[in-house]
Amino acid sequence: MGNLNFESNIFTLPNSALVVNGSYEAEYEGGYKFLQWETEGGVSVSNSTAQKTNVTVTDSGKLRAVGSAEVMQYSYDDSAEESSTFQKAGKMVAVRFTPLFLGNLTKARFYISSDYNYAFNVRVMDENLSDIIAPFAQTPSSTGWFEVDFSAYNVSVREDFYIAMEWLTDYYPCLGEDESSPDERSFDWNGTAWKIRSYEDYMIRAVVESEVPLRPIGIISCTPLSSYISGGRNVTVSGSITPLRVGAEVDVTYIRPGESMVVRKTLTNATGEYTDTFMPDKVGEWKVKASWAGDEDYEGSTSYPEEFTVSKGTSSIYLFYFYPSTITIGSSINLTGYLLPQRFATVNLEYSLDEGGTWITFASVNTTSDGDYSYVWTPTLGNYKVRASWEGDEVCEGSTSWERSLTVEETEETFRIYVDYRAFDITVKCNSTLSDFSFNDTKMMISFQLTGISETVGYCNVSFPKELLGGPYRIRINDSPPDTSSEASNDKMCLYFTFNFNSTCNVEIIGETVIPEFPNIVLPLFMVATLFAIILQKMKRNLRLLSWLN
Amino acid sequence: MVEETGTAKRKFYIKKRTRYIVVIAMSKLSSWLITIIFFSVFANIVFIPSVSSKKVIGSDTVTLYPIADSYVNESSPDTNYGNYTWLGIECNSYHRYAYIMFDLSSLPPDATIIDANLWLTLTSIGGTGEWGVHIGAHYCSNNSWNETEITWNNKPDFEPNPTMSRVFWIVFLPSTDWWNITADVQTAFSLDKKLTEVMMFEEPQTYSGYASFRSREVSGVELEIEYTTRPIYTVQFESTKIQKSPQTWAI
Repeated sequence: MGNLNFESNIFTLPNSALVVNGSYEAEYEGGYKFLQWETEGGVSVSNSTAQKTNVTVTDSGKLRAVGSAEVMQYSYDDSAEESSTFQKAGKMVAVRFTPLFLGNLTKARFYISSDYNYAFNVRVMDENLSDIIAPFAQTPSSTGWFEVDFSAYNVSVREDFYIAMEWLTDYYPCLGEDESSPDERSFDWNGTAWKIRSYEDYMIRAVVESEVPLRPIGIISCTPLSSYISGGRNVTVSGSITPLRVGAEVDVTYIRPGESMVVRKTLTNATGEYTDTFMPDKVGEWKVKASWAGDEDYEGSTSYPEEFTVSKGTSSIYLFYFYPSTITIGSSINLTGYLLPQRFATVNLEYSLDEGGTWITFASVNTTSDGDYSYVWTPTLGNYKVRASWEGDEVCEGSTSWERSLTVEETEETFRIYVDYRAFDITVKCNSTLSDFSFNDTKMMISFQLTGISETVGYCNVSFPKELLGGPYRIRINDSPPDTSSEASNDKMCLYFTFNFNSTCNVEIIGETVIPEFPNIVLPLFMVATLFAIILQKMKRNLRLLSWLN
Repeated sequence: MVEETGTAKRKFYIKKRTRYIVVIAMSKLSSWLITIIFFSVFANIVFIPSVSSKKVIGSDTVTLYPIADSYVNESSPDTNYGNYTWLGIECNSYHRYAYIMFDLSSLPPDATIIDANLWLTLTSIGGTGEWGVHIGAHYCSNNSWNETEITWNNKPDFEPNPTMSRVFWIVFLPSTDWWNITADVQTAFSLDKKLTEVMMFEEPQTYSGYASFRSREVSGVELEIEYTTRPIYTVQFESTKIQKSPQTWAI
């Protein structure tokens, strides 16, 4: 805690150095309220109670500054002034302090670089840069550290606070700046907004006296791993409690751009660290801070809010290839895919029958939390291009998948009928699912069932040998006649009919004649045999007459 | 000068030598841009300034200047460059090495050498190294060479491995840079108190490089040595709070 100025070398404590045998000037700065020096080994001091003293080194050893922890001076500069700042009247600069324990702010110290004899306003502000006490003017009486007493104001500090210097006279006085190892705790007020100064520490310090009972603050840190988050992606924040606290409950508070909050709970691990991953649901400037309630030994604390920016992110939606890519009418196909970033969303499934000229949404499905979606689709006849798309949401742009091709073909089935060892083929083409085919010679009827999509137009083309079933024909679909046309060749009949689907349709084709049970070949054979017998009979009679005449 | 907005500043001093170099370079903005473009094209910019500081508190520092320097040139193996105002080094189809000699006898005989840096001022540099070019300082134990006689053909041998090598990528010229040669100075101080360093490119055969430094004739070479004649100890620095009760804390 604190710094040691050892022969003009500034050491942050604890530290070590190689030192040549000899005497050197040393001064304890910042940190505890100095009480005395302690030494070990070949190190000795000329005055053990003087904050600035001579140290003699005759061998290796230790030099220890002993202080009171009840009064703490917070400083982020190293005492070495390397430049200075001076502002127009009304402007101010400030330093943010993080107290290590609950206490009262008793003093502030300003390093006046030059032009001291001018008043400036002293301001004390809370973590939101709102004044805790009314600003009051002070006039330094010399250059160097200028002390301002707050003991009458009873300012209790627990969270971060700011001490600011507001100029009342243009450019006077000058405030010292430390340019080495800036802590990013110094800020400028330009009249409308505060802006961090990254390249120097303003030389302003705070002295805090502890309250009773004395309990140090377990300081919690909280840092987003990235300052810029693309919408739909997670932000991970991490931090730790110092001193190390294992299993401590940490509240991580995410503050939306509109100031509403999300509080998530997590625990510190064995190394006292914690992480939390969260997906912001809004675009804009977010803040995140962590807090813990404290325990028996340490006061709880809240970290300084860190900012991160969420910008609208891109998304990708995927539609898997169809397999097979050609199906028969009436078959179903499972459309599956996923959306990245993974999220709940509504996905529109679209098809085009004109090579992408016009897209028609045929279904909308919801994704799971993993971004997956699926849909069982029974398309009608056609050559399809299919794609998936979503419109995006507050943090993600929408996207459209690659197009996938799908061909739906008509049904064509041929049924072979055997009659007296003769085969007859009946072929049925249709745009629906075909089932329960039968041929009934008694009823002289071909019948089958078609299953399609209700309220669509179905068609059916049935061809068969006229010999098997002769016309004229009557066609009944669910006992109603359809629109029919027919085409006949010498021995074949083709019947084409259309109808409106009413889910399942029973089709009956009834003829007037059916193939006879007597096979066609038998009659000619019988006639030839009869003729042959008559001829033989006549030949015999002629032979007997001839022999009688002879 | 007073600015109307923002923080106006008064600089009290410039602490470091390297900062001075950058300031000069920035004042020549146009030549800066040309330098960047030129060196970007030929893959050789450079100079990341670093500054040495005392390693041991209470030590002494001395700056020595060379008693001899020259470079040798493979393409003109019998030529001596001892009176030149620059030291050329080159890595190409032929090579150039720079030889620099210091006399360490002015140091106290019981001195312990803590740190030693060879400072050189680069006035030109170029090359085709993939990630910049490397210039190394090599120890040479043979101090028998003479500034007005040394040539490629009679140059003494030196250690093949550099004591320290620096990479040069983007450089604003002129640029003063340093090589830490503490080990070489310690060795030389324990022997004949003469130190010879050889500067050369460390590039592989497929790369090339050239550079020139100011020579001692124009006060371009220094050897800064940190030393002490007294014992050196390790001192631990700590701070602690006074122990008042079991409820007090350690921060």
